[in-house]
Amino acid sequence: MNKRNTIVDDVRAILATVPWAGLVRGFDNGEPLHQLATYATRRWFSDVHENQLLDLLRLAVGRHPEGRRTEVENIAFWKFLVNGYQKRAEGTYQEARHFLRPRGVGEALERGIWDQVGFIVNLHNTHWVSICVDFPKSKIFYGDSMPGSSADPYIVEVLNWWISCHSEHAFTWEMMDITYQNDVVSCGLLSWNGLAHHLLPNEFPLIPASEVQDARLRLLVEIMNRHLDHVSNQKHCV
Amino acid sequence: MCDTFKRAGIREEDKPRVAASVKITVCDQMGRGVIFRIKRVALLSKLQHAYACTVGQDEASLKFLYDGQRIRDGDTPEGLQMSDDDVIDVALEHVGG
Repeated sequence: MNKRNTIVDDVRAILATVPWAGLVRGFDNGEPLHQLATYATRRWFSDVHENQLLDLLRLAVGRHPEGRRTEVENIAFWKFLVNGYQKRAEGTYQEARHFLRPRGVGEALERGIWDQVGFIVNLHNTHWVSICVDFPKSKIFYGDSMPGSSADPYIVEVLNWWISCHSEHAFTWEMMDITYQNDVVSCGLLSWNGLAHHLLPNEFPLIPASEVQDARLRLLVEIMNRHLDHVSNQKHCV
Repeated sequence: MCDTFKRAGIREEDKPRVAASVKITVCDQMGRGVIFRIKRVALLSKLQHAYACTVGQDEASLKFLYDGQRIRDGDTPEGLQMSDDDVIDVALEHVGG
């Protein structure tokens, strides 16, 4: 039996055990279970899927000895930064409770509690890119699965502003190692994979462009297993 | 609680008051805000429904976030420890490929 048949069989087996009503358990956001079907298709990933993948990455990073000084943020983090940037003239970022989270991350990096923060950004509602801000190295790593692309100017502007709120050093931009997509559906997967590989290269090798469909199915199995673990744990608690 | 204040000699007007309602701004990605006043024990799903009606959007297409986390069905301002002038972010689902 080849590798592909094995993962397809795993998906079939797990689909047979999961009811498609209700919410996904074991993740920060309890999204409807039917949203998981996207992993088994060639549909674009939405922020629902990116957040689930980032949750998985955060768990992996938290378990890893080298990951203790790394923070993985969800999709909302970028929205906070954009919001703060838009209101920078009013000085609300430094004061408002609304910005407690990005301010907390910035201060933790500034004080050396964390070394780096990784997150994913949506561009123009058509494309996902990954970012890792590394304070000790004073570098921003930018991962774009579209070959030949460079950092989006608006992202550069917003991130440079945010970093200037927490550091006096000048940061340099560097492209992250990432698999280039040879289709029009895989940026969501490959941007996440690029970030995961950047943070934990041994645990997350780069996915070859020819294997993105299998990788989507493997992630579906991983998410379903986590969901089932939490559902069964809950039953034990009752 | 009342007896405690009496015994401590605290007058009625000096008692700490917890407002029964909170003023919350629902802010979209363009920075436009709609202000609501809601009871601390009321479900935030009521506020989400009212916002969707106000802006004329399908409620299912909107995501409401507080402190970067999705607001769940049973959440209330009290449960999330919200205070006056707190902001709920609202966003449309983003996709990319």
